[in-house]
Amino acid sequence: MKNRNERIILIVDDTKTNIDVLVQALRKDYKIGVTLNGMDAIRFARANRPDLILLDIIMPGMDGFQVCRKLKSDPITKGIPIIFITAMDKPDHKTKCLQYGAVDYITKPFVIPEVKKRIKIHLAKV
Amino acid sequence: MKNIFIVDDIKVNLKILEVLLTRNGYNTISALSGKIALGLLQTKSVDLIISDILMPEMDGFQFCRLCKLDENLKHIPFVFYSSIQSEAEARKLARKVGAQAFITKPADPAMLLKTIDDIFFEYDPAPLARQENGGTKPHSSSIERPENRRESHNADLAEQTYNTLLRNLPCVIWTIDSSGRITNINPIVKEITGFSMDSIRKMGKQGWLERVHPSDIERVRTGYQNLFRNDIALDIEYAFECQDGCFIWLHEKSGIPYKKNGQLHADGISFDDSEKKYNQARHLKSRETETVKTFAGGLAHDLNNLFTGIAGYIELSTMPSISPSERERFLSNALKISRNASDLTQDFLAVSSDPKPAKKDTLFKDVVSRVTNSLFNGSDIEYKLEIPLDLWSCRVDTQQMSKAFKNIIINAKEAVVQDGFIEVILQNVFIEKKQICSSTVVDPGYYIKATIRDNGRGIDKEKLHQIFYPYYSTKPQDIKKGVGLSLTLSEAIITLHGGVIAVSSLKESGGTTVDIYLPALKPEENAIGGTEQMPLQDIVADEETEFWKENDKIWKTQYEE
Repeated sequence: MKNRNERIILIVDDTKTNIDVLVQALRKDYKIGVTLNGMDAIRFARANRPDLILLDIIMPGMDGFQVCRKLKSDPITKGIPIIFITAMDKPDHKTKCLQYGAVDYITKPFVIPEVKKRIKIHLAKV
Repeated sequence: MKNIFIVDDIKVNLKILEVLLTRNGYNTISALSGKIALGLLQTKSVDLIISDILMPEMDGFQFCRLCKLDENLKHIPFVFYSSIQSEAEARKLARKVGAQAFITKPADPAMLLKTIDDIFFEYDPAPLARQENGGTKPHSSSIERPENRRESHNADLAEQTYNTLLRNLPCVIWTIDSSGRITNINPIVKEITGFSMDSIRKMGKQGWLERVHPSDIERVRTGYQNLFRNDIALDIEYAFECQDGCFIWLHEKSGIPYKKNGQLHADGISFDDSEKKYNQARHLKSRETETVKTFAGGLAHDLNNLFTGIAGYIELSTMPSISPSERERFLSNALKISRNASDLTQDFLAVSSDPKPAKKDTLFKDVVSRVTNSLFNGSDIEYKLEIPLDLWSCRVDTQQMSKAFKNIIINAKEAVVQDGFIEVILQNVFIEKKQICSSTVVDPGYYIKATIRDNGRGIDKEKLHQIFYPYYSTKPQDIKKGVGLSLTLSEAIITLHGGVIAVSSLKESGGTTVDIYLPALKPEENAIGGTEQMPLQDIVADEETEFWKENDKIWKTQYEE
């Protein structure tokens, strides 16, 4: 089992400030990978097998749901827990997130300690 | 008057036919055999031959055949009038020898006359004209002439058809005179408005107008005034209050007025268009709802991202483990994002508030040139920029127009994929008459036309009008990205400069074309003076890009570390 600071978190978001906030919040505890779009996220995940992915939904090109479906259909990446970061806080949207195979969802604007806690819980399950 | 030749070997039969035909306006000539008839026919002008079949020496068939072989007689219609036993066979033979009709003896006089009428009508459909050129009056005034009967028959038929139409057409057909009197109206009016024909006649135009919705009354009044004063046909829609107090949408159309009995009259129709109106209203409502939903969703997305950044950095700055320099950077970033939020509200204000006169501190071509070159600098998208040397002068607000043009170019860049190509062409355009360019009206005048054409994925025709809506995206619903106010803002800025923007797209072959028309000085007024050149950085400065550069080195390499 990897030590905590050896674990890789991939952050996928097209809004750079969101990425920066998450990077600053998590960089001391985890190794961080960052991509600004879905295609790069899939490439990164296949190459580096991150321990967890924080995935934004609304992105240009391939959206978060499509990225999730791709990752879950790929034997190399299907075991990686995915947490959606969504601005939409409706029950049907959350259900959709889980239906796509995500382990959790975080709504924006998020609270950093909550993000950290959730990541910790899901990594403990791996 | 028509001459009918009757051939029968029985005198009584001849007499009966002679009386019947002469009383109905025909001249008759008679013969007791075919042989005699053939002789007489050479000297008489005959319009129809009626012949018995069973006759001595020469039967009717032989007689008919000989007539049809004679150059002078063959054009005369031939009718057999016989009591022959084997009727079916006789009819067949009659047709074969060239007869036009076969009537079984004894025939109903009306039927016989009708057959004769029909034959004459078929051979000469304009009997009246000939009658007027030398015909005589019928023998008896009480008996209708065949021509008159035909005319009357046609008139009856026309009236019947007209009445059926009036009854069955789902619209009110009316005639009104210039004094507002309704002279004709069909019964369907009761079904549509609840008022009977009599009530409508009594209420007249004035009473009718009193039931028009107050918001439409002026339009309707003007429509009727134009009809009778200026010969402009009516074509108006308005809400009309029915007898039960409910409003329906009436669509009213008329012809051009005509004079009758010394007074102007106009015919028209009114039909209930409520269903179409309700559908239009529903469609509009659903489009509005969709626009509001898109706008709200996009705005929520933008605000969420801004709040995430502001709250996130402030939260990070409160963490005990960070260094003073990190705290300073986090707070500085939170401040920057707050300013971005402020910019967003400025964009909203620019779109929503009354336009202020734009500063005109630079030439449009300079803005286009600088923005285009800087945005494509380092890009793998191929582009072409064409600015003619003799381009007319058009001064614009540097900041505003740079923003407007930048948004359009960025939009084009996002639309193209592999082998992307974008061309930006400026040209002088003089519009002589009001033109419609892709649903946008361009008034006459001198313009600089900027065309931005990409070879990207194109936009569906039915979505074209929506692309200037806030937060609207042509991307599929699931991946709708809050695109903000970029094109909404571009349109607002161009409008602020007195210009128009039109978008067209070919979804099948791909590609979108944006045409901007900005008013230019007339060619003779084009004295190009010095322009205030804004530094390139100021024009294309992108807060996010700068932010990215600043933070890039800090976290982008995290994983590699």
